[in-house]
This record gives sequence, C-alpha cells and structure tokens, in this order.
Amino acid sequence: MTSVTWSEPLAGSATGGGSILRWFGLLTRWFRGVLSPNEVPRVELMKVRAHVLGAPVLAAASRTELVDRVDAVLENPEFSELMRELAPMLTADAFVSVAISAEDLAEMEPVLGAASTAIIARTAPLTDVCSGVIAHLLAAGTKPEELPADWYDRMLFDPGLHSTIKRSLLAGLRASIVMIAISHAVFQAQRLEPWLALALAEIYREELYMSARLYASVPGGIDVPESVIPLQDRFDLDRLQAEVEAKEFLWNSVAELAGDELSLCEVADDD
Amino acid sequence: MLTHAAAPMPGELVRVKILAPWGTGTFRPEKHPVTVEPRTAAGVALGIEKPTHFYRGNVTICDAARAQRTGRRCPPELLIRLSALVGL
Repeated sequence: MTSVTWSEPLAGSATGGGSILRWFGLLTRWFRGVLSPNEVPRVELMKVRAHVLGAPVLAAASRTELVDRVDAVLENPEFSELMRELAPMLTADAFVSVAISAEDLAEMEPVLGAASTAIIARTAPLTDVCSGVIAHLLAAGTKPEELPADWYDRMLFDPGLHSTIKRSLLAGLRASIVMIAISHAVFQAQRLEPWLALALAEIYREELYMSARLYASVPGGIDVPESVIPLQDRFDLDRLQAEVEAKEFLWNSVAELAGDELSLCEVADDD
Repeated sequence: MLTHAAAPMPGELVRVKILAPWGTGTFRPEKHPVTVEPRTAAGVALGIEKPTHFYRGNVTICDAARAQRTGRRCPPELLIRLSALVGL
C-alpha cells in the first residue's frame, strides 16, 4: 500500500478499528443466542475488557472530560493487549468486511437513544472505507496479530511522522475506544444520559472521518468515493512528508549550532 | 541500534538533545497559541495551576540531562498539537 514509514501504525489503527466492529457483531449475536459454543468464552473475555476499558470512559461528566478519558484508554496496556487478542478475528475467515449491522444498531438504541444511534448508522460509508483498507492490508500480507506491541508509542514519538498523519492514526484508535465504551453500556443495559450518548456518537463519527481522510489519501490504495471523502479533505502525503523532513533538518541544524543550550522566546511570561 | 540506514547498524548513545516547547501564562490570541487548561488531563500531566500557552517561538533546545522528568506522560492530543506547533 505504501512504503512510507507509517505503514505499520496504519495497519495497527485500521485493523484495531475493524476488530472492534467484529467484536460488536459478536456481542450482538451473543444477545440473540446465536453464538457457537467456542465463541462464548470470547464474549466472556469481552465483558471483562469492556468493563475495564469502557466503564471509565462512561464516567465522564463533560465532553472535554470524555475526550480525556478516551485518550487515557490509549495509555492503558490492556487496550493494546485487547487489540492483539482481537486481531485474529479479522483473519479467522476469509475477510469480507467490517460493518455495523442493523442488528448491532438495534442493540445500541436502548442505551444511546434513537437520535445518537442514527448518527452511528450514518457512518456506514466510513466503515466501508475502513473495510477496504483492511482488505487491502490483508491482501498485501499484513498480519495484524504480529504487529509489534509498541507500535502506538513508536508512532506517537516518531519525529519523522507528520502530526497530521499521527492525528489521523490516533483518530482510528479513538473511534475504537468509543465503540468499546458503547459495548460496555450494552452489556450493562445502561441507558446513557442524552448528552453522553450524543457526545459518544459525534466523537465516533468525527474520529472515523478523520481516519478515513488518511485512508483516502494513500496513493495506490483503495478507491474512496468523493461523496464520502471530498478531494479537499484528502492529504497530500508527499507534501506532508517533505514538510516534516525539512523541519526535522532545520531543528537538527539549529541543535547542532546551539551549543549546550538555546532558548528561544517569542512571548515572554508577564508574571 | 541505529535504524535510520538501509540496514541496522550498531551505535553508541553519546548525547541526547531535546527540543522542548515551553509554556507561559501570557495569552496573545493573535499568535494562535496551543492553550492548556489546568483541570484537564493535559493540565494535570504538565502540573499547571493556571491556563498555559505554548507559542511557536517559545522553544528550548538543550541536553536531555537538563530536563527534569516528571514521570507523567503527555496526553497524545497535546503531544501532537505541540509537534504541529513546531512544525513536526
């Protein structure tokens, strides 16, 4: 798909999101009593993981705090562990797609309410984009379960990766965490306060859109309709890469010339 | 192990320099700073008690040994916004 250094975090972000949607589909089948016996233990594990990761998110008292709590899950080692556990769900059978089904939405509505569930329903074209990326990655030989455990940290602290790309990769993970939180509410049959349900749905949609912008921008990647991601919302990845390389060179040069220490001050402290 | 070349090469860490944007309590909205509020995850991570503003030109480059580690991680959103602020 791309030889840019972020192909690994791209795989992590895309397959992580896809795994979570597969997970939710499993949850839905469990509620309907149509799981095969060997799938039941996985659901029991899911309940535990959803509680550990999702319950703190749902304890938010404001939208600002909600975003903070979602990001805090990223720092929880159980989250990356969960991604690795779920990765085989994408490769167990011939991969077709990941999507939120009508049955999944029916399970969400009692906890989210109709309006917020409708927002999630309308993200279907974006999850189609995610499916396309996963299919492309799997066809190219990516093995999600073999991604290094520290790919997230390496992506986040890579000075050679443009902040816009990092932001889009982060967005895919945030959308996954929101879905984990929703699944916890579904497990608990917990009707969420309207503001929280709306915030979760909106954040899910916004973060999914942000990650789809990146997927639609990869040259030689998947075909994403302009109706889903307009051309003006796609990234010029070559320009971004050139930008960060130029800035990295600049700062390295400044550091070399700086001697022991250099402190630049554009706005001084008034205090 | 250095991995920037085509093949991994053995190397030795001699000196590490850091590039650190630093914050101030002075607010200049026309300069579009990255602002961190105290009672947020980012504010707690930074250990601030008042709104703190980061500007593109407020940067220190120094030896890593000069930096005092707090043991707290910078939330990803703030890390990315500060990276964007300095053009990375």
